Amino acid sequence: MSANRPVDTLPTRLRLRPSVQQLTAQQLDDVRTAIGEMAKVDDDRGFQHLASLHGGPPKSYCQHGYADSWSRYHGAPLFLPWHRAYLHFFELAMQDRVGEVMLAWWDWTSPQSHGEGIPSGFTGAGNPLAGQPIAKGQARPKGVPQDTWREPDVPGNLPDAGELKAIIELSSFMDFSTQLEQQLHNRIHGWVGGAMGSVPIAAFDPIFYAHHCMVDRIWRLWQLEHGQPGPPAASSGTVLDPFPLKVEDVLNVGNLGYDYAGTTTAVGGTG
Amino acid sequence: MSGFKSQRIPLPVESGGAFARADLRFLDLDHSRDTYEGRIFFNRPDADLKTATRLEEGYAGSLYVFGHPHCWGDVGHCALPPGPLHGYDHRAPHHLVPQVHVVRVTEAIRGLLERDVKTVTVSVLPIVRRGRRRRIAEDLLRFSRLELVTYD
Repeated sequence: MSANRPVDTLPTRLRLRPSVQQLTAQQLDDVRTAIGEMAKVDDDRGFQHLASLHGGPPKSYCQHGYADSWSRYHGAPLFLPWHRAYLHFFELAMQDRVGEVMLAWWDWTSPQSHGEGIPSGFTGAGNPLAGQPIAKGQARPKGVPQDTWREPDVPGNLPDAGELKAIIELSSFMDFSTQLEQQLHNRIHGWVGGAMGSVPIAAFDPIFYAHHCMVDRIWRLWQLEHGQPGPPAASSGTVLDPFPLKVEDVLNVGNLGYDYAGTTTAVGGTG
Repeated sequence: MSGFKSQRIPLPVESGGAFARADLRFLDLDHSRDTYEGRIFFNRPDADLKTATRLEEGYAGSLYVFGHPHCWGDVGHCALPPGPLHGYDHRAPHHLVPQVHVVRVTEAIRGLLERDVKTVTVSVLPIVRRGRRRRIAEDLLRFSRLELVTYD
């Protein structure tokens, strides 16, 4: 039996999250395998447990909404920091199953999305990315079916690149975060429909993670555009419950070991 | 009934449209039920599901509410508590605390001012979608106050 390896001896190579629409066949297979294997695990390493952290059961942690009550929460919306922490822990659980796998982002503004709607890699019978049980083995609220389902709108009703650009250009983080959440994030949940259109069960649909990866990428693009992390300093110490991270820990994606690629092209080296 | 229709709201005519941005702010917006689109029209009390979502038809923008139609909790879990018990209550806000939704309507307000319009009536159609079918769900749209705000 091996002891835990000291963290400071582990590799620290930054990894790139790719676009769903640019995944190689191997990368897509890795994502499918990781989710499929996570779905077989019925404890805190498994898909069902991690999906339940968003909207329950038993508790909803997801930090949606911009309400006056945020003033009690250090005056900052926690929507973006909380979901960045969530995706990080979800991705680590994926990597427990497939070492090289990374979350991938679904660019719903792309011409490809405006043609096909839901990415083809997330559809099809027997595909673990097409759907999962909702709270497997637990009592479900009235009206909630056994498995996730989707009712996508027509692709032409997805937001376009111009709408995204206008939101990234907003200079105030509070303004940017609110507009990103309400005008793009919420809209996509409604566009996919079905389980994705309900906060308490949305995260049981695997497309949730590709959607939120896109939302996280937009925050990263905003940070690069405006040269600042975003949330006010007063919120730095706020804990992102139930994860052992504070807001200040998730401001720099480099501290979490990843970044976002626009495109990636590679050739073999000298050996 | 076909959605919310506001009283007439005076436009900032003295600005002549020389503002950087105009927002509609929906205060204390309920999000405890279905996810929906609130489709917003200016001076179009007759707007319905068939009205085109174009500026020239009075369309000003949409708000998008990510709803909580299902509850995992026991009896009372989704009943909104009155607030913190006291100053030492550090629990996070209840998940159904009403929200503030902000919709940017700059172009639509400028368009009205350019046509010398002095007031605006705001209509909001709360629209639920199932597949390709849309319907107006009157009871979903609940908020305490609507504000038209311009920024220099």
